[in-house]
Amino acid sequence: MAGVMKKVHFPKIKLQEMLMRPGGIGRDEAIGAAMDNLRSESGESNTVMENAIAAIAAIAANARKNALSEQDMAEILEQADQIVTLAGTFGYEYLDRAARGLCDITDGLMRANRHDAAPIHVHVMALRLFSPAAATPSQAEAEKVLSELASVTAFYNFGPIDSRVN
Amino acid sequence: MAQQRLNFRGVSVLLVDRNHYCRSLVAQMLRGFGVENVISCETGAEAQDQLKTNHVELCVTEADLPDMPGADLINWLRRENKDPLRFVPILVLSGYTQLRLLSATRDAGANLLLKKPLSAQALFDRLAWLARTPRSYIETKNYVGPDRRFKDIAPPDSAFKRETDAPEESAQDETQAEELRSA
Repeated sequence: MAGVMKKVHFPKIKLQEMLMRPGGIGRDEAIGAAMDNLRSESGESNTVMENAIAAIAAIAANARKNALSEQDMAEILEQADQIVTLAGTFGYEYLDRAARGLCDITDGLMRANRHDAAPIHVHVMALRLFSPAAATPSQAEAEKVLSELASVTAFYNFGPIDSRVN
Repeated sequence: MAQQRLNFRGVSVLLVDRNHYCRSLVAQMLRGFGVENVISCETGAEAQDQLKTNHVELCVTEADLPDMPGADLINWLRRENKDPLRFVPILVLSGYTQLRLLSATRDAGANLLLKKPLSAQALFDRLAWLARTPRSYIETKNYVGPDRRFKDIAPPDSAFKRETDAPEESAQDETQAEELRSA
């Protein structure tokens, strides 16, 4: 086999040198300080999630003949992705699962070149139910709603986005 | 056992994420660790501008940016710049819908990949790993970035299958493997 042009570098990585200097901060202390800082942001996170849910609802409400454009779908995906990130960060488990479901169905529809608004509407209802501003549902209620969302996704035969990642 | 300590004093970080609030969350985590200088920007073009005028020790970027894939920014960093910027550690953050882009960012030369939602624990542990794990950087026609092989031994059957496994390197690795087997 012919050799391929290859160079191997052993660069000095300044980050490594700086992080390994004496002093610094221990893991527990660093994580504690980071969590404190995050808690100070949690109030705004609820507003950001509520705004994202409202934005998705507005897009879905403007669907013409029960169909959404490619651009609408892309915007829904971006907003839903943001909800997944924030719901996961701040511990809204049901909202996280519902938003992931919305990502899965929207991504699946886009890949299948379909524009159905109905499954988006169903997910919007679930997002509102699980939103930070809403009363916390019982576990049984939440699981029932989430299983219904899962059946919608199963109807379309779309899998979770992360199952398609190699 | 003594806890891992890291000294973030004076470390500058470039943080690229399309979402203002997500940038703010990551910046807050970094500040909790002791990072004093976090340069935030939204797009790949802004990041390139910032990197032309600022020294940073770490780049944290989203896998997909509004104006370009994160892989394009990483490719630019690894190919169009000089040392030390060229070899700056790059941590890629991926939202749920961006997971399919991770392999492209890895192949572009990212050091580490992390899925959102990001936890302070995961971020600290990855940075600790970066600090403690020196890696060589490989430059080939198709790849510039950290060596992704962690075991310095030959494959089990000593059959080198990668195009980049040059014969002389193979011979060296086989010798090392033989030494390890006989040790």
